[in-house]
Amino acid sequence: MTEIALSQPLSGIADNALISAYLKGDEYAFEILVTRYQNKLVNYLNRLIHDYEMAVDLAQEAFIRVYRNANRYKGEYQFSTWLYRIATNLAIDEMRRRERKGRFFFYNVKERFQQDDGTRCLPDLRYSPEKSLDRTEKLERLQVAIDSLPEKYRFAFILKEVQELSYQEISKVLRISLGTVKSRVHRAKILLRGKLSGVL
Amino acid sequence: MTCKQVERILTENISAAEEAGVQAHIRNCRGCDKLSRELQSMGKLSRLLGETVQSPSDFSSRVHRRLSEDPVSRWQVYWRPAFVFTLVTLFSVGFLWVRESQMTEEVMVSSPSVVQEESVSGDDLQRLDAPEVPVSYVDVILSGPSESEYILRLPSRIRIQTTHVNHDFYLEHASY
Repeated sequence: MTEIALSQPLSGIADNALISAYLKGDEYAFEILVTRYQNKLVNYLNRLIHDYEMAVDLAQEAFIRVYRNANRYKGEYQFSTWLYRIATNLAIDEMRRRERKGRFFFYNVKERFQQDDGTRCLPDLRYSPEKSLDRTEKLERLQVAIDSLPEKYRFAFILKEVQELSYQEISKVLRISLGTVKSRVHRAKILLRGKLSGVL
Repeated sequence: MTCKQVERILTENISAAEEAGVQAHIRNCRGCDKLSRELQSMGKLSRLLGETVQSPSDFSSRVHRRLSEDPVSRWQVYWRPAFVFTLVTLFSVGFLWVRESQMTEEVMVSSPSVVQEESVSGDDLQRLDAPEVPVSYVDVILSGPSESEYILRLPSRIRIQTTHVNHDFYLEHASY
């Protein structure tokens, strides 16, 4: 049985080696994978569904599926691709479920911009020369602009620019051609540039 | 290199081979220079966005708790295979039934002619509801698509609904 030594630095072990070790019975290998990807996954899911608790829940569900179906992982593409595929499918299911229930996706936006009297004050995204935006405000505006993108551009942009996956990985996660990925990312950036005039 | 080409290259990440050409264009094009700077800023902010949300500190232990609390459910182990088996069985039976009904040969009745008439009664008619009533039989010659002929012996009280098509007619429905 291959056991990964606790002293071995986490960054030095490839994902595929960890999956192989886990399949041979090393539970600690699975633990390392969770530690390595938990933040990225929660962040990714939170960007898509705007519900932190649900994002944590879905990220956990993604790891549970990895735990139970690791023997189905073929190794022909990266482990992260497989993990993001699972997470993306979970997010899409959740988004469809919420759409059916008629829930809107202003969750975080509503919380962020809710005033004391309960009314909402959505930010003015237009440029104001006398107002210099700090980084937090810029990030907030970028998030609002990303949220307003059509779904197909939003997924591609978040995976490429926020999660920093390669075009090839995104192509496999979303099951679309490489050319389509590039085209969607390009379109997303042009749309965002228009929405963030004066902010960038 | 045109502005459109530069825009495409900048949004899809510059390769080493394209770097020199794009830089030369940017130096002489204010619009593309602005685009380049804005896309760089967008990239930096996006990467920061990827670091702003952290998972809870007990994330890993919660995953393990869920794994121990929710071992593969009974639904997955027992009921789902049973459900799938039932569905497959029902589908197969339905498919065979439809296929069987489609295989029934459509028989064309050409000029049904009374070949023989006879009155019968008694035990021969026990399968009818009114055995006391004498019933005549009519033999109808049926010609099938493969030039075969069938003789169908029917009680004369049968009601035959026909549709005329080119002087032939089809036996559509028969009932006592």
